[in-house]
Amino acid sequence: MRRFTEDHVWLLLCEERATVGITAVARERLGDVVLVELPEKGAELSKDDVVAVIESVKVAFEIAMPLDGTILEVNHRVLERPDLVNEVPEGDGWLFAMSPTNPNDIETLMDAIAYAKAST
Amino acid sequence: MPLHDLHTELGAKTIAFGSFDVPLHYAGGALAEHTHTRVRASIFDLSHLGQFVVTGPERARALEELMPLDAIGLAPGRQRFSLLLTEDGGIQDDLIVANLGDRFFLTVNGARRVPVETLLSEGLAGDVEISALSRAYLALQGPFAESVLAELAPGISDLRFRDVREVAVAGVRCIVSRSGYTGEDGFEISAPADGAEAVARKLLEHPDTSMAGLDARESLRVEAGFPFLGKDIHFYASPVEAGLDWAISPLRRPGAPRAGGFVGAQAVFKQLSDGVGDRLVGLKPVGQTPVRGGSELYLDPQSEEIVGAVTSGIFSPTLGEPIAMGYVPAEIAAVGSRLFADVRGRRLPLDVVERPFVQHQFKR
Repeated sequence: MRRFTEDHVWLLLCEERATVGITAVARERLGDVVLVELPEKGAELSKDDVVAVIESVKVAFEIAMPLDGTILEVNHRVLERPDLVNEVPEGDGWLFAMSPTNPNDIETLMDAIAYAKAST
Repeated sequence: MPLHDLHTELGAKTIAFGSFDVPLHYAGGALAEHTHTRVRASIFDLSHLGQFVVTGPERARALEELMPLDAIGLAPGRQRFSLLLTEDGGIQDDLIVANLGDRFFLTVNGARRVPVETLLSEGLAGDVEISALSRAYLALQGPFAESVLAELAPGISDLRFRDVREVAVAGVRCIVSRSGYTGEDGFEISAPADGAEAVARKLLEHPDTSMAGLDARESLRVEAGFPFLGKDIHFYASPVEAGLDWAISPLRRPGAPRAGGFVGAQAVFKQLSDGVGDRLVGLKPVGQTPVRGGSELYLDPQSEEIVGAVTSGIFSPTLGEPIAMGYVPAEIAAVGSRLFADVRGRRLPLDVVERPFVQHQFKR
């Protein structure tokens, strides 16, 4: 199931693993990505903690944890190829995978229709 | 903006600036525009800047009452960078003053267009008059700027840095100076509003040119070490603190033939003699994490005492690493001083370095 936050972050939950990235809307607003800062594998973080930072030339875009959880994996490819976040933010430009403390919390996030409405 | 249709065609993302929609970048993105400026030539539409002419027999003297400039000695066909100060010696505006022979031509920050017009019209004595121009303003910047412009404006190659002349560009009468804000060689072109699109389109026909917006302009000027009004310089920054005291002409300093007599003179002379508390310096973060404007500076990672602040900070596309500018106490403004910036709760080290970060290419 795919859900979205108001900060243009998507979350794709498959069993107990949620992959997280930024949406195409965020990519438009950000401009060219030059650097990505990712969390440590194993880090336990709360909803709204700053979990990743996407740097463009001009500005830093802080990504907030969409839910409480533990970091399972980070996408090392975007560390070497930050332009992947520009090219395929909703695919190969994913940022990290996490295990939500309470998987049911995902229901509190917007679905695709609600997100599309909120983003216009 | 006179080039509005062109911007739309090229997929410009714009920002509202008063009544202007100014391009931040075009469809290809700011990073590509930045790089293109350093290797080819980019065209920036800066028509939101304020352009004025000052006329009247006593115009040079009148300008000298307002600015620490040598206007009387500014030869026709030459221009200078100058400052409009507050009574307290802060910076109201940074601007270019050009002598076109029968008039002075001023280019000021877009954000200061209205206050400057008011200031000048109230401050200019006697028969001296100022009028605001509704013209377009284009900057052509990059190593290929000369070869591009020479095809459309014969004789342009004769211009040296800070020369200015009235010349036809693609058949349109323009005011062209060899100058710019990117650190690259280049030209700034004041064109009539109705002829500007033709000039821009003709320039764009050249394979080496493409449009660039304000985002690229910002990253280019930081690499060039230039301060920006509203970020690095403002009402509370003195020219001495900002490292812009070179703009105070030697002929206007204490003991010189035309010492003082400009707005803010007393305050600035005190700054020159007594020294200042802070200095604007170049800063190089030690790691890869950019340090942005607004970040507070400390002397060590544990200290709670804020000693300065970053005013501009980017990730430099040319260098592939972060760079910044900010104010630090004068005692530690020497190259090599180590400070710590607060970035999202962490204290990241950075060092004072020389500016510019990318060498200038002006054709002096």
